[in-house]
Amino acid sequence: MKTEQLQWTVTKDWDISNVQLTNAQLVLVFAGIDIIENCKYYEQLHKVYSQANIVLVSTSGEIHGNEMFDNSASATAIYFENTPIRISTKENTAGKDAEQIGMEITRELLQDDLKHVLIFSEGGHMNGDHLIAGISKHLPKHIAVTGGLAGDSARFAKTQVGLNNSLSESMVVAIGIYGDAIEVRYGSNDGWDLFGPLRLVTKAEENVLFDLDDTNALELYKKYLGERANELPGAALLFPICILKPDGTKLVRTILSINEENQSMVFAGNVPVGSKVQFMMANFDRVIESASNAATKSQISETEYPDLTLMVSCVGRKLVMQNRTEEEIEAVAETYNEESTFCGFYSNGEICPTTDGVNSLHNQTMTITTFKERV
Amino acid sequence: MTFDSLHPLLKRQVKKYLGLQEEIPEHLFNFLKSINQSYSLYDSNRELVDRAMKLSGEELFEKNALLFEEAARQRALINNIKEAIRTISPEQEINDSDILRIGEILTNTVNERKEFEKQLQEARENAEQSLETRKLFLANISHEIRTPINAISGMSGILADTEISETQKQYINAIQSSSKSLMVIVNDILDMSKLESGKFSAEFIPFDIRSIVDPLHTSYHLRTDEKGIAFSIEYPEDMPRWVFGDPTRLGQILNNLISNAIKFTDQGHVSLKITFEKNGKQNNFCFNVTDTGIGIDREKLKTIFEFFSQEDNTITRRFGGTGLGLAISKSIAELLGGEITVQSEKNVGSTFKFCLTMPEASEQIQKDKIVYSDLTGKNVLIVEDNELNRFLAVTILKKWNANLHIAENGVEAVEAVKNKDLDVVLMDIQMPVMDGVAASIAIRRELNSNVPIIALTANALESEKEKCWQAGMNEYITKPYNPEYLKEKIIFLIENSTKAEDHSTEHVSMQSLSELMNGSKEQMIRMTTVFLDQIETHFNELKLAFSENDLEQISKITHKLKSSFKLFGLDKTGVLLERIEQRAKTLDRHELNSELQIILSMQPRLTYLVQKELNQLILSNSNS
Repeated sequence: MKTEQLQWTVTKDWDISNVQLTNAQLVLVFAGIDIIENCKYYEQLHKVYSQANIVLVSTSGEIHGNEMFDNSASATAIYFENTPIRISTKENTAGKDAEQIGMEITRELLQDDLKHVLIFSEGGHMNGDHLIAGISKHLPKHIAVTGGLAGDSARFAKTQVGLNNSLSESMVVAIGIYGDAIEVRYGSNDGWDLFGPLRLVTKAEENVLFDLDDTNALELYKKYLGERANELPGAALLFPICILKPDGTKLVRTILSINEENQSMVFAGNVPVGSKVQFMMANFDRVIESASNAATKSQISETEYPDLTLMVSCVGRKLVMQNRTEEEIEAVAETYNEESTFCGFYSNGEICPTTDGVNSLHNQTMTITTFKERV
Repeated sequence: MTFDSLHPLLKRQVKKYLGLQEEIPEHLFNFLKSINQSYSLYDSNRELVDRAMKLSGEELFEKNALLFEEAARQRALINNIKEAIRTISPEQEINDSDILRIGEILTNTVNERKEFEKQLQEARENAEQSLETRKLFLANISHEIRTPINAISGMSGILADTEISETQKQYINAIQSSSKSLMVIVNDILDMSKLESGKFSAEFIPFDIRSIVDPLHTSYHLRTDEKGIAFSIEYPEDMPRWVFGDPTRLGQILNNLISNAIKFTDQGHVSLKITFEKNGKQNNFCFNVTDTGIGIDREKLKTIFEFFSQEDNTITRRFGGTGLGLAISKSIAELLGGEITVQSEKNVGSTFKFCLTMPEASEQIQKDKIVYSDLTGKNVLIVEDNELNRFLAVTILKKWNANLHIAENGVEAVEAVKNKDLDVVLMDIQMPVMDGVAASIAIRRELNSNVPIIALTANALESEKEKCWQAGMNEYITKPYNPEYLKEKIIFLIENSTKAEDHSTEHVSMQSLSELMNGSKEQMIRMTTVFLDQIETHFNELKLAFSENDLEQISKITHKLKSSFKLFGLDKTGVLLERIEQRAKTLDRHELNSELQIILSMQPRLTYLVQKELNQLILSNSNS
């Protein structure tokens, strides 16, 4: 596998003078929501990588090398020497079932030699849990799904995902990676601190939470936030909850919004009744440490570093860490001794299997997917 | 970020170790900013954790308080349960902390209780079933007893008619009076079981109230004379005669009350007083039976109307009786819409009173009866050898404007029937030259005449009655006769003779029944007894339906009856019933009415004929 990276900013076009991988099959472009609709950067890119499928994802921050940028476009061109890929795109149009979309994707990508599924979905309306459940339904257990939901600079309004010259607010792009030459590892970690007692979800509908321990969840949440409750809804991103599902899996869920009218909280993922939940808060050291934990988990081997490292980190982490955000990217780069191509973005939801191998949607994590192609 | 906005702790450290006072140098800006963020985040996190700890602590405290409360309640509850268990089963050992043991004991107790309830339920079901069995048994046993009693009284009647000594006659009289008493008791029991099972029904037919009340005098004056007490019946002259009601049941109540009164009265008098109040078409009749007898204790007054209740056991020993009469009378009175009440003083006397509302019978019904109050233009043959009796008959019949013909013996009677166009024949039985039976046989078989024949005889023997029926006579009246009764019969027979086929010659044949029952006498006896009951019940129903003009009911009853009659060889009656059924269905009222009258008038004869066969069967069964 060969990779090369280009960057586009408002003040600086792509530097195409040194482009070598003109035969790249895949280009991953992560761009700020305000940039991505500007077609200028795409036309130029397409000219250089004329044989490549160019995947476009809007973000809340672009990871380029071991740095983080806002309102830029980061392109990573990938040339697979011995690894076929196939791309499936779906529109998440109104009324369409997310699980159905997921199942269709698997139908299109599934082959005997399917190794991994990389997925980028719009992150405004998509029910990520259902999408992943759909993809996993008929997917062999050993095949992992990783990726993320697009971001929109922490506005939580509309995101954009595209393939080549088509771009839309409702697109899902899935990339099937095939063959034995490619090796894929992944890891996810949140690093948030738990506080307050464990509580039982007693009333919830999909991703809308009403009651904990038979008392109003929003009221309880505000009580625990104290004066910080005045900063709601913005502050909600800083205080996610940890869900212990009845089956034992642990997931972090970001609060997307609160509804004072019906006293409910809307999460970036489902909150099943019967789960146990606990409030969470951030601690810089541990959040940053979690990123290097994720990197360690997704290490190819003790002596080998990945050809490509894809980081999908939660927008919530960025909001907490502010100008220290880059430290987690650096922590990942350090783990691999800076010897890999680092790309990625700050997202509305990370996709990766849980520790027990169930493909899941995560919040508030650093989720890493590493690739190594053996020739 | 300015120097002053740094976290206080950081500011102090920066001052102390870096010697900075006001400005942050550019190369340290980002570094201090990051550290400052950590300090701030630490503070805000600590605040959050402190608050969470405090809130969790409060929640824990509240939950604990609730738990303590709950635990105290549980303890109190367990103590209550333990107390209850000690009360229920003191022998149970309960360890203070052993809730499981308590649960076990409770479960056992509940199971025992359930078992007990189950047993109770079973016992109740058994009791209900045995009560039902008892009722059925009573009804059956009454039939079973009645049949042999009928046979005893019938056979002793036949025996009395043979050559026997005066002593033997006395024995027979004793047998007959005993079987009559026995019959009363059995009928009482039967009535009681019918009343208890709700199978007792009341009639609602037009009848002459005086025809029920007046004969009571005749029935009882002999006994009151014997006992040396006075007996009187009083009612206002303007009391309505024709009313709708149940004459049989009214008579039963009155008979019971009067015979009771006489039974318990040794001196003074017994009286029946009837008062009435007119209320439009309704009449409220009150019947008071008063005596100057032994009276009833006040405490006993409440129970005397209960079944099997007499004032006390000594009464039974002294006066006899089943103790059912009053209870039955009371139930019947209630069935008829009245209530029997009693006022009594010990050793002074008692008054039993009941009131019935009976509507006046329509004028049409009364008129129907009045139309035939006269025999004008009717040719009546009086066959009588005794001059005095002849004179009496002539006197009575002349009063009703009949054309009279006289015959002094059977031969003359046959001759008269042959030559004259007669409407009815009044036939004495014992006559010289040719008796009434022989004459009737001649009239029917030789002259082939259907002229109605009424037997008038001083001899009330069953055997003679049977001979009359067999000879084809239509009616049997014993002398001395009630002139009104005679007139009624004459009119009825004249009215119906033209339409009536000769049912008088009909006989019971047991052949079909015998074939059906494979000759089993016992089965035949059972069937015949049932048939007798059927005749009684269904004819009563028929009368009721007739009075209510209920054609549908008439058709139903006749349909039920006809096959039974045919089974007993009573084909003509069966055919007549079939015709009535048809007429009822096609709403042919005119013919229906006259034919119904015929069939209803046949009831006594039919009953007689069937009863006779039954007696015969019982006799032959006991012989074999």
